[in-house]
Amino acid sequence: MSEKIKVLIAKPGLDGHDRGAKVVARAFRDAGFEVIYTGLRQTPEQIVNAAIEEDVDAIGVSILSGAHNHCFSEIMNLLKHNSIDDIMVFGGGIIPEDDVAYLKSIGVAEVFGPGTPTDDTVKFVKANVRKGNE
Amino acid sequence: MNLEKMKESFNKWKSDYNKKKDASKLRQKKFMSVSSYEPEPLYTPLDLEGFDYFEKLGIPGDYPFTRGVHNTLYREKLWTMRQFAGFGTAKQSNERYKYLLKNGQTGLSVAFHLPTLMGLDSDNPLSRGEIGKDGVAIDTLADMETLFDGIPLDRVSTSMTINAPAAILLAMYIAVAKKQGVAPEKLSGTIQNDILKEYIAQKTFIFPPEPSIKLIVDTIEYCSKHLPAWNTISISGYHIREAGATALQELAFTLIDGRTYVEAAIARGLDVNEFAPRLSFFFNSHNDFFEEVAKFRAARRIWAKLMKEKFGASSQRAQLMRFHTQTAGCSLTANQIENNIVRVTIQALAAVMGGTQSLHTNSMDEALALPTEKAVRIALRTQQIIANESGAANVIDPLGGSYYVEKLTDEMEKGVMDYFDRIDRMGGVLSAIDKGFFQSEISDAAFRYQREIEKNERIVVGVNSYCDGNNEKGGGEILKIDEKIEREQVASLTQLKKKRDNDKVKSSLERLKNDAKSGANVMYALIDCVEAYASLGEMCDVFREVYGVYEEPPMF
Amino acid sequence: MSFDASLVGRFLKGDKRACARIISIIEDRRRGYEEYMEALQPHVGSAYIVGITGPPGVGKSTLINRLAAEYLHAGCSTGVIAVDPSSPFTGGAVLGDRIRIGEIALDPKFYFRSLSSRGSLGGLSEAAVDVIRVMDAFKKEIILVETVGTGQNEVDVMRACDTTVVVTMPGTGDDIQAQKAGILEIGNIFVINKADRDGCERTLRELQSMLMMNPLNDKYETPIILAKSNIGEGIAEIKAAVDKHRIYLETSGWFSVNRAERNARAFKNIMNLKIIDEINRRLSRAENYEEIESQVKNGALSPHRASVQLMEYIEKKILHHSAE
Repeated sequence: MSEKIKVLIAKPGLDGHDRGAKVVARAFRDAGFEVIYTGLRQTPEQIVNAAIEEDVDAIGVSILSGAHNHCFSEIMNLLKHNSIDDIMVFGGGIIPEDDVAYLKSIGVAEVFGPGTPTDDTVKFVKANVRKGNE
Repeated sequence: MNLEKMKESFNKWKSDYNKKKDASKLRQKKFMSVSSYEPEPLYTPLDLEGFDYFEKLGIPGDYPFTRGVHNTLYREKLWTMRQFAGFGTAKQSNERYKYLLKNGQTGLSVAFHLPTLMGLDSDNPLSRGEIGKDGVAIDTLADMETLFDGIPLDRVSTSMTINAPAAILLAMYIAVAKKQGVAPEKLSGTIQNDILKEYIAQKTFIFPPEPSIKLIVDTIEYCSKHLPAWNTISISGYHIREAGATALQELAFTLIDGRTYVEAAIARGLDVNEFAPRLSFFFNSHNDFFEEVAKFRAARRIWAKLMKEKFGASSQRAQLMRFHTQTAGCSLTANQIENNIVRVTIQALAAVMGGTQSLHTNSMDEALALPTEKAVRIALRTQQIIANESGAANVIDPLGGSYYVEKLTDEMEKGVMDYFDRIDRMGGVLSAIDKGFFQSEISDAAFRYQREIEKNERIVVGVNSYCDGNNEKGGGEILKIDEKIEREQVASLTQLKKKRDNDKVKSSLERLKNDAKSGANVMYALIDCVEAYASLGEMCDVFREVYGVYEEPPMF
Repeated sequence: MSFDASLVGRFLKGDKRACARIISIIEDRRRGYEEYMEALQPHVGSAYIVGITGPPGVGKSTLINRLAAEYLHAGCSTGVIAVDPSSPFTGGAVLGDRIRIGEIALDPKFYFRSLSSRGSLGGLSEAAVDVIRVMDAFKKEIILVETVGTGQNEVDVMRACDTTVVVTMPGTGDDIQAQKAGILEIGNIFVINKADRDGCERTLRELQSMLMMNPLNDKYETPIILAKSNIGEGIAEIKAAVDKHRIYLETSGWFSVNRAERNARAFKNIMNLKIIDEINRRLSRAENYEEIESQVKNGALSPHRASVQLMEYIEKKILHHSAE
């Protein structure tokens, strides 16, 4: 049996705008990834817990509600708290440039803005996760 | 007309056309609408063979209302230019409303923050970071009193964008009016109150579909007795389209949602001629001009037929479809944002040519952030230019009789009927939601659209072509969460929960629980609860306990 | 990757991450996964395994999460394994079963794992059975295993469970008819979920009449439970029915018989897969293998004739060779 790259696609925030998260999830699936989709309104604690239980290689966070700084720093803190350094975190959504710089400084691997071709996201994850490099 | 001659010349034209097509002389392999519909290159009288004017179109203001719901349309009264906005605390919004009223506006439009839409109080941990963000925070009647302080509710019309907890917000509105000494029958306004599109697309649901529909019928029943001028529901395709649906899907899913509500109200024993005039609709308008116009025209015709033929509505008011339109937020690009003004213009023009009753035009910078004041003004000016300079408002249904538009209107109708059949075979809307049918149809369409752009089968200016200028900066300020608003809102709620009569809260919530369990109309108990200052979250908790909560089936 | 004893050490101390990693190793059949299974073997055997199956849309996930909450509430350490079909063309999958985990997600006594079928034939049930064993060794007292439908894979997974709950809902009856053969065989408890929907009575009658075709058992009567899992109705009854079935299995002796059979079956399945793998591996080294394959492809040789030729090869070169 083959070893697959596993990605968790998470959608925090109270809003229900999951179009982007779902399109990306499908693109990963079609590229042969195994995608864990957690559904709407997940807290950072739930996202990190799911990432641990499912032993994923990457967490993709889709966020449109404007709470990205709060949300990503919680996720990064929780990962650190659990001594996890082999799960890549990336994000997508409407995130202003200043904030992108901040998010990268706390360890978010990449942030994909609106209009990013899904192939680019898939390629990036493939090239940068632990398994892809082995 | 001589059809034989027409056929002859059409066939000749077609064979010339096909020669060029086969020789790859055409600009593109495929010509398709925003919804991936592939129109013919030419429409002629042959496409409308046997077209019966009165059956298909009728006179404006008459059944089947294809050409419009008024006999004068925009010559008597232009559409309402209604711009939706919401922000901050109840006090901030109140000040804004007073300013707008002083400047001649008579209609208010309330946007609630996400915790309110989800039936959560501001002190709920899930509300953290969301308070007062893209709408006003309402936890109890006290917030609602502040929101409408000094605003006589018998003199304004209020539109509230609220769905799952709509009955509760309506109860609060009625209670505020009572305190002002305004009788319920004097109240006019709208609650969105359309839960089905939440399961299908927007996802701000709380309870499962059956009890949610029961709550809607409760409000319809209550209003038909006590608030005769209130619009009880705004059946919405807007959000379905924004989630990635095609024009046809938007239309079909919205209409079948509407049908479901009518069936539920009739099952309650309500008179269709009495409640149906209070139903209204809300559509999206996207870039493909003709497709949108055909969609609006078909919408009126299908609804009128449905109401008359299926439900036996005999009054014209119960047969005709009134609708609000908003231009497509999902069509805006983050690059070269000024181009969005052009997109919004085309979309707004389609809505007007489609005979909309009211219109919201999006601001060019909304793909990036909250709109700047200037962008909002340009959006409004767009409507005013269409109304006063384009000539589009001079003639009723100016595209009526166009071979293409009539053919497309017919095809929309046929497509809707096909969807109705498929959904009915699945056991109706609720069972189709259970099976994830709508969700996967929309998800497929959204994915297909995205792939078409990525493979350059579809050109979107500033996205995959004509990208010079993409690096220019644009847009307004980015929304920052003001943590002060959050602290203040939570503090005032905590204080209110201490000082209210908590025995009264408890007993009113107990009554609500009993009524919810027994199946009685809960509006009366809700008014009791809100008057005792029970919070939105507390009332929703009662419903959560009795009705359960909904989680969507995973569909991709 | 070589066997990591410290990973097993952390696992035995209850470290969730270690458990997650070992499940991946076993699920992926990474080289040396057997050593992990071996290391966990002494700790396997105390969990009670409940399989839950039924067609899509009947509310299984909600029911399972309610049931898990019920067990957690009773103080039981609980695991859930959700087996999800994979996309057959690319081998990718979107696993969405976590969507319905409610408040219990962060309960330290709870563990939820999604499992995809990965488009491979025969591999799903073996992997699922092994993942059940890992969770068992991880000291989960109750393991709920969710599958969709009643295909062979799913039936195989259900055979690895002590009690099987079949969930259906009121409707046209098509669903029940379609899975009739499969469910009669494997269901120990039947649940009609969404029991407030129209047609519940009819579905109940249909189920009852189908169960009457089962051979008579005076020690155990298969219960049918009406539930509304979204508001928690019927969940306590399902738990009670599972307890009852467990007592029946234990007092009648079937419990140990089933488990012995299950172990034997697991062994046989693993052996079968390994034998096939090994023979194929050696076969592909046969000097004329590629030629035979291409002759079959272009039609010069019939598949049957080719198989006879290769069986001769196996007989002479592989089996005899090994025997010497």
